[in-house]
Amino acid sequence: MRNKFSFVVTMLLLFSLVLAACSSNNDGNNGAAETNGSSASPSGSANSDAIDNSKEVKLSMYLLGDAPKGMPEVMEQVNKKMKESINATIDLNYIGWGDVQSKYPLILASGEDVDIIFTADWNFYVQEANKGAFYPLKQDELNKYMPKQMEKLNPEALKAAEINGVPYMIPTATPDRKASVAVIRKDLREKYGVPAFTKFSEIGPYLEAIKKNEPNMIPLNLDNQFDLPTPHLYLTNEKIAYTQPLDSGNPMAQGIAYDYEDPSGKVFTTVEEPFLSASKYASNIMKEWYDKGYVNKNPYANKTRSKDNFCEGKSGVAFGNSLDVAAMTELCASKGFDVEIITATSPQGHAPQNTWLNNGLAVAANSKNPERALQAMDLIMQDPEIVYLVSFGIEGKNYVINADDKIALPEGVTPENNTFPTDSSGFWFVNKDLFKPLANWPQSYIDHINSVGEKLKPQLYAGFTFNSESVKSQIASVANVSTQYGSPLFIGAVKNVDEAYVQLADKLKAAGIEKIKAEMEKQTTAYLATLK
Amino acid sequence: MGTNKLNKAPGFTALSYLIIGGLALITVIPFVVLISGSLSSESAVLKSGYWFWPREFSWDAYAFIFRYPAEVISAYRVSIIITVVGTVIGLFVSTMAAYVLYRKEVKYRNALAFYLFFTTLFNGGLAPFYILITKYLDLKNTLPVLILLPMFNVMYILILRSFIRGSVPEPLIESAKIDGAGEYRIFFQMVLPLSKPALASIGLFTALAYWNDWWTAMMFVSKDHLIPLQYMLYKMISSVNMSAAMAQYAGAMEQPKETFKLAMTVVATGPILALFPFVQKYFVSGVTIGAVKG
Amino acid sequence: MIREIRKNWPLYTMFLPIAVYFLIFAYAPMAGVVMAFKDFNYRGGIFGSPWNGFDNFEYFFRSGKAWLVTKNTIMYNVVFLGAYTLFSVMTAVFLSEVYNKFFKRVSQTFLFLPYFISWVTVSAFVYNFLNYEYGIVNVILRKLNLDAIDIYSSPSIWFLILPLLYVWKWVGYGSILYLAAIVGIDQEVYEAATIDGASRWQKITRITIPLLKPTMIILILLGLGRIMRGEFDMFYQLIGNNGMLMDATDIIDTLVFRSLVGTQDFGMASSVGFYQSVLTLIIILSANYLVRRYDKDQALF
Repeated sequence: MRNKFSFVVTMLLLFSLVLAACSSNNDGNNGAAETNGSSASPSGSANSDAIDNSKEVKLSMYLLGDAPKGMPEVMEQVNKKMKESINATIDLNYIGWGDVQSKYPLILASGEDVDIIFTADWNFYVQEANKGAFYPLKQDELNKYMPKQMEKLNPEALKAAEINGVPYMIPTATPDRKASVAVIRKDLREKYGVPAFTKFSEIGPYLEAIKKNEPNMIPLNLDNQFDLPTPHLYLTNEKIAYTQPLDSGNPMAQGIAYDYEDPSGKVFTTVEEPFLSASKYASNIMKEWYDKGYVNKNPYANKTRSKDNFCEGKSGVAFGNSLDVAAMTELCASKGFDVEIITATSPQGHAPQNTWLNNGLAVAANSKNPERALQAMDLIMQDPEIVYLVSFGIEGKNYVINADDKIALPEGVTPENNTFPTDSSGFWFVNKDLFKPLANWPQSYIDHINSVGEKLKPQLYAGFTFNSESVKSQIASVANVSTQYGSPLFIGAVKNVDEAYVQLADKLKAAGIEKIKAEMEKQTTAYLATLK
Repeated sequence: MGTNKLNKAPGFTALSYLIIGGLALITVIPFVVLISGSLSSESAVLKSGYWFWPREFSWDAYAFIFRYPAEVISAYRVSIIITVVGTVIGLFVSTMAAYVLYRKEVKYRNALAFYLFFTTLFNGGLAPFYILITKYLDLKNTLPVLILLPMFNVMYILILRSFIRGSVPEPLIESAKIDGAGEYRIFFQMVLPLSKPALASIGLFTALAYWNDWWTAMMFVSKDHLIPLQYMLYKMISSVNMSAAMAQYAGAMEQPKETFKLAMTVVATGPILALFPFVQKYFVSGVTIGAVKG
Repeated sequence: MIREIRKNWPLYTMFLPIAVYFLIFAYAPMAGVVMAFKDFNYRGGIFGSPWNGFDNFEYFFRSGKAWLVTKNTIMYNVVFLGAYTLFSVMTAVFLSEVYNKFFKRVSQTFLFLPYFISWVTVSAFVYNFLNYEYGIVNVILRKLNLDAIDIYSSPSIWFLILPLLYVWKWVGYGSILYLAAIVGIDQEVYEAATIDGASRWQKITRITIPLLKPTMIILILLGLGRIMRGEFDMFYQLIGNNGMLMDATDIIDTLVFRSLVGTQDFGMASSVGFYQSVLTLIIILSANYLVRRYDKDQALF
């Protein structure tokens, strides 16, 4: 019996191997044919410097999120303009938010019909580029096909996108100007006579007042994803300039850190000095708050972000960043109370500037028309008419520009029934300097967004991208250990802070954090050498 | 169980009612909470959590789902088509296969069972599967992909085999063969009718698998007119979550988020519950083999 | 072999559609298992990418928890399977003893409702009921002047909560199969027993339960076929990143998810899947062997 089984199994495995082998052969052939084809085509034109757009092409583009209802109409106008300028049209597809993790790499892996695709450092740019998913970009091609973007783009940004010396992504020319913030209730602070403060570590009396006087409110009502590490991070940041691990970029994970105020760029793990004492300081405060009941006991199971129920009076503090709290401040204002926005800052009063790779576009490795794709990207990112179309929709229908030169909704259109809500279409990489302000932001928010720029400090490693290929299993182990032994320290839910850190350090060592550090030192040293 | 009724045992009957009634209560109460949550205003749920009746009654969540009715109707239509077509074909082919696996004459029946079972243990991961479907079979954005992928479940085939073994005794088949009936005739005239309760339950499960399947659509469908209901809802909830998390320009719109999740369950559950009476019909009274034999 | 097929060709044609289906949709892409041993990249594809031995397994076995999570996975699944079988059989038996058609239909529909409630929603409900600050359970305890319980920091309670929730969600589903089996029993058997003067209880223990045994065996065997996987959504949604509960509630799938959430690596993702498959294969072959020794007809294959 057993023999027969193994026979069946072997046969089937052989069969599938053959099938797959055929398929990989096909891949090879197709690839060869394509390169032949593309190298042959330009020879037809006499002048090799001129751009040859004589053949009409359809470019397939993938973005993250969902198409707003009004998208087809907008794309019709965009394509009209595209057709006129570069004889191409765009077929726009979306990868839904819930599907990114599984579908994004598959679309690239299958070599499916894709020309232009969204990419970002937080969306696996490095990993995908390492696997050969993107078309390698050359400076002369960029100058030729993307003149407008190249004019606006800081050369540092393109440098930051380099993996082993080759850039694979066109980053946005206008990275977001945002800092991490905590939002508090101004009305309650004044009501209970708590003096105004500007640093997050001074929030204690406010939390105490909320705990004492507002029985239905939890001062720090943290959720299990975003909020959980946040107050600890803010407190740490006041002792040592820090945002997130340099290796994984995952704020929930331990890893390799550096002091962004320190020009030497020295790196260290999150469980060694100088970082350790800053982190311990934060955990001790969190433990005090946790034990006094300022923090919800079970953030791990809570799925509602503090920012989402802040205006309902469930949370005393809302966490977010300069951009994503905008709608919330509007909502609170509509409920009749004003807020104060506290920016998380370093000991020197700075907040780190965003990395260059926060938003961008790449050309897929399998694209049959990379030149045309680049030209289309140039238009999408910089052409004012297209930028307004894809960001705000159709003028008069989805938005109007009012007398104060601000963007407002047309008469009769509400946020609920607008078929193209502002900035909802996933085109985050356009030149946002072309945007006008929105009419309905409350003053406290406008003040914040106008002043946040002054606090932002460029990071030494903004242009550095860690290539984690050789230590990926260590990073996976560290991520695993961090969740179990690190996250209780974020909220202070431990019996003894010092002992918990000793345990964490041991576990991280076993997970191989030293190896990540060694690799990081190697790469950062090489990077710093290129800056000189 | 007609004849079982004959001997009365009131104590026992009362116990049965008590136990079943108690279990039903435990299972229905959370659903009541769910429905009343879906009919509450978003701010009431955020403020005071879920409760047995709606606090601050509101249709917001449902209004949000049905904002673009044409989309929802199309999604219902797609779901119904794939569920009906897929279940009928899938159930029929599965039963045939199960019957073959049961017949002792089939010398390789155990090897064949293992051939099926092996696929539940090992798979090559998503990437080769995705490439197979999109590149070689070219099934992306087609109705057949939604029908084909969830069609068979090895467990159900093996369960069907065990049911058929229980309800179609071997001697019955032997005598039919002696009477000169062909294999197909035996299958259609004897096996299918005798397996009705099994077909009803496995059919129900297959239908549910189709109805609840958003994964196939997520992977292989991006055209609006092919989006089934569950995937439409799945997309809605993930974009509501994300837009709340990222948007600077979203405006002060109070999107129902918590209540939306609940309303979504109600909207998706409602129509498929209509299937229940059809299935339950086959559970009310037992099968008597003699009736088919004659 | 050819002679066998020629002899029973009508039966083999009945099996043909399903054989072809699984050949295309399951066996063809199965070659991908080699990715567990490869450093996968798009240029090389599945077969052109370089081999990297057991590197993809490293993160799992280095975690120091490989044994713990394997043990937890098996333990939870055994408990789930046992409780699920027990409650499903019990429910089906009592359901078959209920004669009021309306009551029967309505209660059966109710029993099925939890199936439709996703674990995300269940977890939101559970949080709403059990959380320390304003969970309903703790609000009541405080009203009674009792100490509130911090359920989310007490690992031992979860050994009870998880199986209960599991049974609650699946009992309606499971009981349908057993009910179908009960209804499928030939009525003449009961009639004969009635004539012999058997009581209701005797008929259940002597006829119904023994006749349900084949169904139970097959369902348990099939359940064992999933023993290394488990209800990921349930653990992920209810426990999430709760470090305090983790040693008690960590299963293979949650460990893998937690480790790989920031990496898109096909090789590392499939390596542990391969480990699970091999273990399952061993377990299922042993179980099947034992069942075969006891009764050939009731084995899976």
